[in-house]
Amino acid sequence: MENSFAIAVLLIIIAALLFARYLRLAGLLRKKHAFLKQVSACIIKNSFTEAEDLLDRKKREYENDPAVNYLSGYIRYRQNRPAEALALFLAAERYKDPRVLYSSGYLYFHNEEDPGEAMKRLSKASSRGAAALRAGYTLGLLNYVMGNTKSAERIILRTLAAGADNEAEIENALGLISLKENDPDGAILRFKKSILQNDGEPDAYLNLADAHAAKHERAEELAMLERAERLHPGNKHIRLKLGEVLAANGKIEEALVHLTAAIELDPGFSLAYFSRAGVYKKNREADKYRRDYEKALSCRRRN
Amino acid sequence: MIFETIYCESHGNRISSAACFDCGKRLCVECAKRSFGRNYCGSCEHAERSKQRRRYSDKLVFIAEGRELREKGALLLRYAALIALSLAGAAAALLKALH
Repeated sequence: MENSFAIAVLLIIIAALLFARYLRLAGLLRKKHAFLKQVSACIIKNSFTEAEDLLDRKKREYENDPAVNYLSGYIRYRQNRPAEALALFLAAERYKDPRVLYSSGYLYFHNEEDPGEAMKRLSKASSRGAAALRAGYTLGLLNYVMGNTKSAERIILRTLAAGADNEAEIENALGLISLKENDPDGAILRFKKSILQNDGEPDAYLNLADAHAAKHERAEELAMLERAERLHPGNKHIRLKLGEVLAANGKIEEALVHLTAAIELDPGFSLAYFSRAGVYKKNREADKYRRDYEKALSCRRRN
Repeated sequence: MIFETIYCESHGNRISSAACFDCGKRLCVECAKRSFGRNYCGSCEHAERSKQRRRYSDKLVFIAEGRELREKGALLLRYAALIALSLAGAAAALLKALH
């Protein structure tokens, strides 16, 4: 009887100790979550230096914590340090947090150009969690780039149906898919919808011009690019495309103006040098052609 | 000779290790440009990149909501189970002592 009583007392003491430990750990967890919230607020405000300072101060305390690694990785990405960002995301991956898988998948797609690794992560991230819609959209784009247009369309339509808020981007991507499937009419409708959703998206204008070109509607193509250029005079891609189309239409002088403007907007823009070299070649200006071609190659090497 | 050595079309003295995905040109290690797992020669890579250049936008979105709830839930569950087990054991031992 006494033995049983002693065991009962012992077990009650163990329960009390466990409860005390739980309270201590819950307190630490609450403290950590408050800290993460504080860093997240800085990131949302685009105060990356402040966020980095906060993380540095608690470096020792939260070393190797997956959530901290995710936040540090995102800050590195926004500071144009994608290789460091990817290393941090990979370090955080063991907890299979969907937002981490989405971020590493995104970098494997856009920076590493490794479709296999990107696909693996984005597929997992798009199936659940807060990152599902964004990961679904990126996965759709990856499929589009890989030439799997049917899968791309299915995945992107699914994210649209699930309530994704980037409708202009989605319509633009669906237009691209239609264009790849040789449906320029469908593509034109999608691109126009995208422009209606967000007039400030230059990609949709460039794509709409391409869709008109696919239908051999040269006047519409040029008109669209000129409209885009008026709306976004500082966009180097629009200047480049406009220059290329003008050159193809034999308007060499006007083409050179726009290609030169594209280079002035970004002196390291290799594609613009390539295109201007092509125009000089057409014009039989050998020296200028050679100079631009070499510049294009050196810019590309630097990139 | 059974196997013929294939040389790079731009650098005749270098052995070719790849062919351009688009035009089939034989390329050495220096000439081959990798894009999305495929090898391209300089001009086809340029054309390929031009085709794919900035036609869509995709940004890496920051997601503040993480595994906080799950972490809290896991901790609560683990300790609740252990405490319940200890209390159940204590109750059983007390009952035995009273009988």
